[in-house]
Amino acid sequence: MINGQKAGRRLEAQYAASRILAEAMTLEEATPRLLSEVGGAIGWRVGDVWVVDEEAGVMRLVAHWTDGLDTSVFETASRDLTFAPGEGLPGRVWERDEPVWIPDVVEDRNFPRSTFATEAGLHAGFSFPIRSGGRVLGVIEFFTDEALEEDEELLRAMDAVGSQIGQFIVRTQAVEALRGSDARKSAILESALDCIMSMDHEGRVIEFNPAAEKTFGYTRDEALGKEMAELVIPPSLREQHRAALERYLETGTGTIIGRRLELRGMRKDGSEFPVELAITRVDLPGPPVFTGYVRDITDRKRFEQELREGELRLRQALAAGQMGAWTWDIAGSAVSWSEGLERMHGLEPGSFPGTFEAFQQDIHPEDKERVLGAIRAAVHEQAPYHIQYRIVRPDGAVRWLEARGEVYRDDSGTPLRMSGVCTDVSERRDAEEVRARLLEGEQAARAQAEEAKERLAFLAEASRLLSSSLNFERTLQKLAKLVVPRMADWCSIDVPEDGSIRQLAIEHVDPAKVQLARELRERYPVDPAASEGLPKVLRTGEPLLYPEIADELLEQVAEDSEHLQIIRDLGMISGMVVPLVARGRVLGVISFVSSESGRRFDADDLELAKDLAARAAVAVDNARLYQERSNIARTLQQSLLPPGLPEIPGIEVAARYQPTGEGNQVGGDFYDLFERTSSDWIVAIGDVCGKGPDAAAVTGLARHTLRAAGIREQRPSRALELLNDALLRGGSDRFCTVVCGRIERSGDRVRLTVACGGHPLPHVLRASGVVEPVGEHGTLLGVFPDPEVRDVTVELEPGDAVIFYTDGVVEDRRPDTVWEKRSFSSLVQHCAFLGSADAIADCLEREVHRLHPEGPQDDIAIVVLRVTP
Amino acid sequence: MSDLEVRVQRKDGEDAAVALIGELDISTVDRVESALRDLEEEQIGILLDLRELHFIDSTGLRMVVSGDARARSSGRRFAIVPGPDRVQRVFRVAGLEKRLTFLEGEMDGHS
Repeated sequence: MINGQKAGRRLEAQYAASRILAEAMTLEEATPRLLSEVGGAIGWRVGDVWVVDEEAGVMRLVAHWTDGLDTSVFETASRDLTFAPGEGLPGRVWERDEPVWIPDVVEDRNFPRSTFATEAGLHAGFSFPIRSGGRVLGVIEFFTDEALEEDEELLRAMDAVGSQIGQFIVRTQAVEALRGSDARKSAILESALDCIMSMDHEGRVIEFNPAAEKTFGYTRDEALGKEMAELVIPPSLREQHRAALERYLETGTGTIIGRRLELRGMRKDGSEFPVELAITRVDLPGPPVFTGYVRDITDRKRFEQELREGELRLRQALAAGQMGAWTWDIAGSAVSWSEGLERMHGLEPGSFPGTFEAFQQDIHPEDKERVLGAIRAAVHEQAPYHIQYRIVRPDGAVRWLEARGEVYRDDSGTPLRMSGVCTDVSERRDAEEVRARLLEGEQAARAQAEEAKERLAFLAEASRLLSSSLNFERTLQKLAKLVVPRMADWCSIDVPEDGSIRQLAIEHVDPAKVQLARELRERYPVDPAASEGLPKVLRTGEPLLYPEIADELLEQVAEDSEHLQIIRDLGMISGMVVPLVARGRVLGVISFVSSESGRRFDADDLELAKDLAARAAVAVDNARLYQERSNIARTLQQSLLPPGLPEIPGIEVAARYQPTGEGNQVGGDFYDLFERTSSDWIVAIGDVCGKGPDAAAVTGLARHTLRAAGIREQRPSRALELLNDALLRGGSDRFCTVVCGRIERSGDRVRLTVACGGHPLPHVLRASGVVEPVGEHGTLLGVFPDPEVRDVTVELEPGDAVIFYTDGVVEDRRPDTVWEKRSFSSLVQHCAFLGSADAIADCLEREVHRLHPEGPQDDIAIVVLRVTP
Repeated sequence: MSDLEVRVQRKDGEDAAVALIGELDISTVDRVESALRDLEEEQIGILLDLRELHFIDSTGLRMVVSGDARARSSGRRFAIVPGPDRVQRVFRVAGLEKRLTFLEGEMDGHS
């Protein structure tokens, strides 16, 4: 037999034994069946049961089984033999209290029956004890017709059967003993009803024993001759009694004779109490005499009442606690259930089969192991039995039960009985499950709310970022940085440019990967006509969501196998591409890709991306508009400045120009420097009031007029007068303030002639560090027909510098500063002793910024001319 | 943002006093301009009070100059109560001190 088969057979044998022992009432009943079924199950041919005769101190054969082998001789011999401890196979097992295996009994030296065994053709044999309470009560042996090596597993299994039988025996003995004692008790009860009273056919007391005296409170004398009914029967029952007596006398039969009745008796003091009564007719010639045996069963009744009440209470408690009670007779394997438990299992009360198997059947298959394990642990390891498990009712409903129980043992620790209660905890478990699910749901909801909050915060941050700068390229790059890694592992922003697609920004946490991506883009530029991904979104203006980036998609996008491999290696898992759309135009595309994080984008993520893109698109659009305007303005502005500064031999020139305010507003300051002749130059600086195109136009007019006038006129004052006329003619009511100067070189000498029309005076910074303004303010130009403008001439030495400026330089709006401290002279003073016109110009610029930390409010123009030393 | 308060005081039959408090620049001139024009329509003389003005730029200057020009051309009075030095300096540099009508001393009622 192969192992699996063997194991199966062993199990079969054990089940058979359990079944037989559960059903049998006596060992005699069980024994033959045990031999045949167990033997048959394990495939052996012959079985014997030997039992210990304590008195004689030997073992005798009590049962024999064969499955066909002719063992008559063997059996007869066995029955004639007795074995002492240690003798033969049974004796050995008895003495050692453990199973013994004989591979071939014919060869065995301690097998007295070997001849008979040979005759019957028996070879291998084994025996195991039937034990209980630490004692061997008997043994069972099995033989078969071939020699076999010891099978440890089989021995173990049979040993367990032996223990089961032992327990069975104990149980049956206990039951018998109980029955015996019951019988004995009955006999005692029957014979010893305490009060004995006799009455004649008229119902008068003729006998009244001491017990009766005590019980009823009458003395014998008091009782004799009185009607029994009057003495000891409560008034309400007397008529019944008398009538029954009469009936008996008439008919010879009655229901009260010879039966034990429970009635109420009455004491002398009139108090009633429960009694048990038996009446017999005394067999004597003459009129009938009746003897009544009466027992005061007050106590018993009370006890019974208490018991009943206790039972009721228990039942009520069970019902209230929805508990059921159970008892498992471990030895016999019978199981009894209370009605409550039956109902709990969905059974009609009384329909539970009462077997351990039936109990097992109801257990949910997934919990069976656990329950049986717990029972085993309780029985064998004295572990507390407290377990929750599922049962399946006949109608298929699944309920959760919570069972608690205790194992009752005899003095030797052998488990006799296990009993306990079960409660249906389905609701509780359901409630817990519901609560757990609710909690989960709540946590999920809270997590969702947190996510939503996080998204809003993210959008708010993005909005702030987007509105922080009008340089849209830089803004978009910052946006890509914001997105990674909060929203995605990769973010790229692409814009259409001249028919192709330019990547404006690409971000990833790892700069090496960013570099790789850039190179990749360079090698494989995106095809605007591609049917998927970025180009598609750019064309259609519709967002795309790729919850899972399938390889097919990569294949479509890749240009060759190498490209495919590289993008595969990027490990992109999920992606979204959203368009930047403003005023109906697709300005660009933002792509979000997840890789390392393993994130998979869903509809919610796409909504966030779309929201972000919408905000970015508006910002980009605005920025672009602004940039266009700025470009125009700048272009315009640039045209108002000299194309380049001329080289003046022996004179360094530096100019600084900073228009302020909005980029799309052209400034009103201007300056110019141009050659008049080979030996003189004109320098001019001016300020047209206001800004915007109108002011720009006047600025242009001023500059060009000055150029023309300066070249024509000798004196700067004349140029200014001509400018004044031109402005008045021009029609604009904008005025301007101008300084116009002429620089003459003759040899080493440099002469400067300056005329000023309402403008801050230029300052001379001598090489010695002395600062002095030059010229007179005059009247602003373009308002009055007769402005005052006068020429003033200074000589400049090598190392001297002259500085022209516009009033944005020194403008100060703060109400409480004192002007003097912030005059231009003091500014220039700070820049003394610097070695070049540029240095001076830089210094002045720095000073300006120091004065206006938040940035100057007005345009600034500075021109520095320095005679090289 | 620049701050400017324009206070107009009128008395029947007399010049209106327009006091400017704060900064007069490109962002605040419009308000003053419209106040002046309203008064001009009524052919009232204007007294521009700059004592509490602490800043004036070229746009402000321009507004004053054009106000003065309009008054001259329609024969109305346009006088200015000088402001603090930083304001007056602007007029000085522009050569306007002699071209505009600046009142001297304290204001002590209309004359």
